[in-house]
Amino acid sequence: MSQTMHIMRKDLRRLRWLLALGLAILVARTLLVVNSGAAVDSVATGLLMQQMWGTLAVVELLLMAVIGARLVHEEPLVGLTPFWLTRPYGVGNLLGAKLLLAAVFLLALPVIADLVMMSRFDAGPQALAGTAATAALGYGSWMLLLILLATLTPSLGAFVLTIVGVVAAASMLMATLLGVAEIRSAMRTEIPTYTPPGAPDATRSVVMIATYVCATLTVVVYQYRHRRWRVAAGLAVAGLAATVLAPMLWPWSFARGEQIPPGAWASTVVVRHDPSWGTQATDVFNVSRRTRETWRRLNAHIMVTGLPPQVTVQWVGIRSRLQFPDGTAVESSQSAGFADAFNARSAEAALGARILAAPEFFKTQRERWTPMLTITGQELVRRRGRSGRLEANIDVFGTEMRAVGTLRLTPGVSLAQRVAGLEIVSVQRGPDSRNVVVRRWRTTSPISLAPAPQQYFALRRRSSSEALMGGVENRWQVGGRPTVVMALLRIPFGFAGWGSGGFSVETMHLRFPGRGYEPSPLDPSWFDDAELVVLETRPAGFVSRRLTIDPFGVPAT
Amino acid sequence: MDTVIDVTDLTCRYQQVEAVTGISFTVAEGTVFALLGPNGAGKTTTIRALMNIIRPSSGEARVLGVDSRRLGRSELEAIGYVSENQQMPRWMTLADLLAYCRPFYPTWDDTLCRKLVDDFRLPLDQKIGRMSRGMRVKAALVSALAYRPLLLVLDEPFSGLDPVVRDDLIHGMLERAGEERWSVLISSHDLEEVERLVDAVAFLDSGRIVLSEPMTTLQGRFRQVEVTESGPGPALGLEESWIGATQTGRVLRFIDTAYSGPASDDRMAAKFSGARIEVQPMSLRQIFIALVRHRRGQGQESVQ
Repeated sequence: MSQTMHIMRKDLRRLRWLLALGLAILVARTLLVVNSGAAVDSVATGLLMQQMWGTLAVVELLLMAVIGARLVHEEPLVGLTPFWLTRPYGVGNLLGAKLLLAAVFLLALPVIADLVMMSRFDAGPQALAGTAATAALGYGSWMLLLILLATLTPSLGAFVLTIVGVVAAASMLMATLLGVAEIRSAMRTEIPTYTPPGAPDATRSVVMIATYVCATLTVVVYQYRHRRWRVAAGLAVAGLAATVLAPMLWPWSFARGEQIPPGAWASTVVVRHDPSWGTQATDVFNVSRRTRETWRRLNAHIMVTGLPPQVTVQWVGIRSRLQFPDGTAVESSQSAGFADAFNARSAEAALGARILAAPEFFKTQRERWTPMLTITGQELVRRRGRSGRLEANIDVFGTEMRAVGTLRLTPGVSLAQRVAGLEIVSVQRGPDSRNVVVRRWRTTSPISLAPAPQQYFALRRRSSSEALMGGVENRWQVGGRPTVVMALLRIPFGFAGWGSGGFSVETMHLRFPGRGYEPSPLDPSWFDDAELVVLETRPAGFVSRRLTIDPFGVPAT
Repeated sequence: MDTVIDVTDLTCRYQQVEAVTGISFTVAEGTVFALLGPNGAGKTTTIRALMNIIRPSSGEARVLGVDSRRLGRSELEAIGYVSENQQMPRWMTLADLLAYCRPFYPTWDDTLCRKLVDDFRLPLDQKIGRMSRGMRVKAALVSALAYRPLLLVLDEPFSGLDPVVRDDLIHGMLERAGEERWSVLISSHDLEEVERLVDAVAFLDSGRIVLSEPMTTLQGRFRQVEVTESGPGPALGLEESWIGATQTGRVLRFIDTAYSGPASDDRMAAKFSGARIEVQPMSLRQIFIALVRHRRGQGQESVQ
């Protein structure tokens, strides 16, 4: 242990300026978020802060890379001439010193900085724990990758070139895989099918993360013990392959969540066919290049009734069979969008109030054709003008809009959720409107089973049971990871999500009613007892219904 | 322990190239052993294998009684290693370097360390990266000697140094090693300097050992011979142990690699009757050059 501390003290001294710079950036970004409220009234300052955050995040990432590399290269593991090779170092002590120092500066301190930022927003223990875990995973993954690359290179220059090479190779690999997938898709002769989604499952993510951590640690430990960089590089490539393949081949699920129960609407929902629309044939975008054959969809007008008003059908999955009188039949399965996820009806139900002003798309519920069958162009020619009996199993996926919080229209009032929160920063009165600045923070996890909810804002006047939908005039964000950083993090890992998330704060300038919402003329006193209502849309589960259409006519043209 | 280094049939291969092929030699405790050879002979590779910097492809090298592949912390605490190519921590001052090295060695001797620094006239507050090459080697030596190692391994320590620095080093290091009865393995081109201090040598050429023996026997059996005939040139037909023969007019010069005193004198007198024969002892440098030229000119057999 004393040798570990001795090596650490030497490294601390050696890297003191870099580490000080890293700490300064951590402090700067923490202060930026903590003081982001100072810019709430100035869009320009807010956007400048957003830009500064992005710059700091990129600099922090690059600095982490340099610190990781310099730390390992103090005692390089590649080459025959380093001073330390012939000195009585304990390999365990050396590895321990490097990992300990890296863990403190590349993992623990950034996580603490994230938590300090959150503490400004009165985050609860669940949010703090979630953020700590998410941040530790993101920073830890990046730290391990840096340490691994540093153990395979003799110097900072070689390290940078290796990163460039790895990024280029990963990009080429991704492009190749995408190209192969594209070609396979283009060459396929069978029509794509629909499969009902299973319960949300984090097993693959967990397996991938565990494999990645094990693989990188194995390479690092091997290189410290044996100093054979070719073998270690081979192990690293094998580890990368294992990280990609293990989740695909993993045989059982241990982190599956529950299917979202649809609730009471499961027993009342009815799926009907509206024969007045008839049937319609449309092209499917995909074209098989091998067979030069188009796929066609046969559509009908389907109506779903019996839903509670706050629930809308966002999309449907259909497995169908069309039986012709001569005994022949065609089968297919497909999914399609059904209606917009939000509309005035569901919002009014969630608010318990009549909406006086809302965006145009909010007010109208568009009716659409629903694809009941997918067949080839040749099949359509063969069957055109004929009728048969269509039997379908339709999965109806609901989206529920609900009010998750009501806030008095007063600065400083806040709403705390599990891993998110919101506070009103300022309220400005206009003759026929209110401008409200809110700050919203949230933490997202790469292994979260639930997607982040969509939020909408309304002003509600309880006394008259009326409401106005708000529009977002401006918004900026500090925290989270900017696009460039996300792109850099995604390249080595090869998939979206990992390294994403973390803690972020978004400032929004809301106007009630939103511009162009064409409100009814309002008395200025309307706003006096108005309150801010936060609406969210969330998946509401799905139900299956059988539907028979007889006759179902194949269009003649 | 009688031997501090025992190398048996050691082979080191880089990719497809054999840098060292089946070499064997031993270094006795308390002796100074020189590994000599031209550039690319395999000296540095041999030393790297001994120090577990590279793994031998086959054969065995035991250092302080331990297989070099298993050379660990406890053995390295007793070995001092200095190489011309060693990457020193350039950002440290000499004082930093010595303070950093000190806790690694239970036998570190501060008094000896201070004395070495004084003897080498090294500035403690100067960064290693700003030191001259000679000062850097001296600094490395101080950090390798201050714990009184049982074995000192020096890979071309004098290469490229000016004569004054070289002299400093040799007096400061090898003579101290002699006084303290440290065992020393040194590879060097500075044969004249090494000659005064080494007890045994091994000549390496093209990855093979040409000869390995104590200095006394080596210098005893090598003689430079000059034969001057009074009449026409001497008849050729030299013995197998006479190498590097050249003839200029009536003068024949060669090197006797198996000189054994009066018996050899008598044999030469009989061979070149009537001629004037001068027999001169050879320096290590002359022996080295003669052997290398002979091997390059005559093939690559061992000269024993």
